[in-house]
Amino acid sequence: MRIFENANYPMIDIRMITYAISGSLILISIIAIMVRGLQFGIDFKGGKEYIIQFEKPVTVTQTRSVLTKTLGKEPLVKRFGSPQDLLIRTDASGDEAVVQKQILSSLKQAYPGNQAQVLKKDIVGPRFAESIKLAAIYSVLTSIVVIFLYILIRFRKWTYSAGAIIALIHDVTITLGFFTIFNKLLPFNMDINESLIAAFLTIVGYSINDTVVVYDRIRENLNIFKTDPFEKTVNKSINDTLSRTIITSGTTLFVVIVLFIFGGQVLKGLSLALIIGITVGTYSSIFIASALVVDFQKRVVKSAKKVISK
Amino acid sequence: MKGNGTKIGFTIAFLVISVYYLQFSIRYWILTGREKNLQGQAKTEYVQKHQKQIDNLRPKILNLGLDLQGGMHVTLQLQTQQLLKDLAKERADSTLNHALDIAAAKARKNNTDVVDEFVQTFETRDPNARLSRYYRSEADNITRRSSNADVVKYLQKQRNSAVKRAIQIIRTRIDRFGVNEPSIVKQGQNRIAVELPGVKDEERVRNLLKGTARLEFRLCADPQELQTSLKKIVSYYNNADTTAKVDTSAQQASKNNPLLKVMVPEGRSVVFGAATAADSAMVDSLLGQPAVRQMLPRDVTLLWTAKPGFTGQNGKKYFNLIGVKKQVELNGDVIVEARPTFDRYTNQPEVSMTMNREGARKWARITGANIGKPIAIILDGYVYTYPNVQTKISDGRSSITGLGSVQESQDLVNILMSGALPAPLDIVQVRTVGPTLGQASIHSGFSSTIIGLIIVALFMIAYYNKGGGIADMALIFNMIFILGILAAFKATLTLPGIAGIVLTIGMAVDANVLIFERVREEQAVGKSMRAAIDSGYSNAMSAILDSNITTFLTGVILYSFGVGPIKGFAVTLMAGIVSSLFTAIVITRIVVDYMTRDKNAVVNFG
Repeated sequence: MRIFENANYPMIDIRMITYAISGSLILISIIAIMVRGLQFGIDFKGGKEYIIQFEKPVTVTQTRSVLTKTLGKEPLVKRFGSPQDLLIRTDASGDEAVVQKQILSSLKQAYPGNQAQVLKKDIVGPRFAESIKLAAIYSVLTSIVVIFLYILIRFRKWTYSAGAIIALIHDVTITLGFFTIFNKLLPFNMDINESLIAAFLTIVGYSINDTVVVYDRIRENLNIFKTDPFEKTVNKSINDTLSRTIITSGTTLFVVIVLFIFGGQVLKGLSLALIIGITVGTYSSIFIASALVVDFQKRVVKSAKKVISK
Repeated sequence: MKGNGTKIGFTIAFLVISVYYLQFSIRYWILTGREKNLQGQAKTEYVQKHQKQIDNLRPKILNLGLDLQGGMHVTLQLQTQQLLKDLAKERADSTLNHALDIAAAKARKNNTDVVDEFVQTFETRDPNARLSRYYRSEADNITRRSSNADVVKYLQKQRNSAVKRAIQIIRTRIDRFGVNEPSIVKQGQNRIAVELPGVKDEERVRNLLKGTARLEFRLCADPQELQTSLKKIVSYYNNADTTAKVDTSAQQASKNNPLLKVMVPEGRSVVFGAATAADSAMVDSLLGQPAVRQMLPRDVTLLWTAKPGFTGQNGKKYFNLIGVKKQVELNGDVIVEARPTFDRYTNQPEVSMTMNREGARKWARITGANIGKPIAIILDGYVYTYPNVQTKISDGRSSITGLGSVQESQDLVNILMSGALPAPLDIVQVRTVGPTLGQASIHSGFSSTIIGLIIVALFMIAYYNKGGGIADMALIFNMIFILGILAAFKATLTLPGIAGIVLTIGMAVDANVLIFERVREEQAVGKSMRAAIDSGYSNAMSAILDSNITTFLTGVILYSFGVGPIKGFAVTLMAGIVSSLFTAIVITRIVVDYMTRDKNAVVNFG
């Protein structure tokens, strides 16, 4: 079986179209992030989060109104997978043990004969949350810098580094935008938390993986087809590696979709981020990263010519 | 085929090592799995027979994270501010306290180190001020003449050793508590991460970790003076309430009295008042007003009792507020032995303590001078008992009563005996996972791994034919190696870690995809089978290395910044990359070479 055998699509020629698509996706994402703000989870915001399992199903709205009375302010109440399980998040102040007792006793009153137990809980102090957030920001920034340097060392041209990094920022921004827009619309936790950061870094690693394979081929083809224009060689390289890109992305997408379906509630956010990120990352490796190198390279040549003509 | 001897050697070596490390876990799971299925007599017999074996295996098995086996993760933070205050001892004055408060607030806001912020704050207030005014140490050669830089070094050293001591103390306490495989590690400069697998009774753990065990013996306030103050303060709030309008009848006034709304005034003996746990914070803030404080005797402070004094008509429990002297007569460090006992008459649990000689001498003097008066025994800022002194106690024995349960008395003994924490610890993060959720996570993680593996394997065979089959074989080796690496390095498998393994399955075939695509290309330009395979492997190499190194680097970054379960994800991702490189490049090559050893043999790459 073969796909994309002797592929020869004009990837570079249509770059204005793909730039426009990417540009508008990024714009939508940035607007969404600016309007709604980043939806931070408990890890980065601090607070108290409980996952409570009931013996029999309960309604979200009733639970919310019951808890609003006890806690004094409205908590976030969400379904967590099955109708028996609820996620309750509150920033009610006070000792965590006391808050938990308050919640459980008021649920006991509201639902007599329907035992509730805490399956999981996360309590994060605001100070601690702040330091996790900083660590996350550093880790994403560091990874971008490290990758920039690695590619600079391996390919000896800043244009490659820049193309790869812009493609990476493109991937992360669009995934982030997706998570901001669909945050409250899907029935599982899509807040930005530690595991989502892990997903972002994996996306970064994954997308760079695809991009580097293409760059590697460009480098190789440049040595073989020395007389061809740069654009043509780049386009050929993308096509040469196309079937590999699609197959690897395909197998990886398979498994993250499996993870999304069978991995349980806790991994839903992480695996969805990977699904979106890998899709966008594959797209950017094919249509954006190398196209940017072509444009940057042109600029380099132009400015070099200017210097000479002077 | 040349050079394949080494390759085969390595492969077998890695396989043997991986299987060796994994067999502990497999044996352990089989043994404990059987135990779960048994019941009653059979179970007891089984446990008796195999317990030793299980205990021997346990430290060697693949660690499961708390999110998989259930348990509690707590992050504690040392109150550096308090430590700096304590180190200054009696030299601490309002200037120092003020600088410390500002520094603590800044450190909280900017997430910086309290010691650094403190020095900065201190120096900006007065560039010529010397820290050596507050801190002295013979051992560290800090004298009146020491420079600020030296003092800072000393303070940092003290802070680090305080964290170290705190870790030791917590370890002792937890060991006595009895937890399988607890992990207690330093995190950053002043944090301690504690992982307690399988722990269910959170409340106990919390008390165990937080209890600073600052045991103090203090005299109580003079009942007469206390009563006078109480009257003054109540009437202050009567008058202060301006919303009472013109109607100032005594009854109306007391109805609107903000203090009386939350506190029942007592004024009998040394009990100032009583309030429910929920109202106590409000009472504290009302009584904390500077104007109100002045109405209390200068040397007196008010502390809550650890246990409720009575149950009100509304069914709520009320805690007493006790007037005690500010001066500490005797400290917990004089205690040499503590043990849980029962009160001879009421049979209530209590803790009896024995003091060292110096403590006993002081205790004799204190009790002798205060016969008939109450003495408060205070632990971590809460009054446990305030018994009246019956006679002079000269043997240095005393006991803490008013404990709720036998368990509590045992825990208290544990805390007293493991020593006092150098400074209080704040709990900044708690994460608990119930065992049922953990079990469900293992199940869903396991099934996603298997399903993912099957789908990818089938696809590879469909697409690359025999080549795909070889890649699949490499994939299975890969799984064994990853788990072997995790077990050998004592890494912890978490749920995100399993996600990392699943992701690796998808990405592991990448190297083979690169190679096989390359071989096909080489074949397409007319090279012979063997030549195509040779150049396919060697030409694909730079792309494979470049792409895997970049991914590995992000794994390293994730590992160094992430905490808890996310570290587990990074570990499996890195282990996966290393092992999939080996399996995809080395193992498949051995097999491919073996299959093409005959010149005319054909290995189909689809």
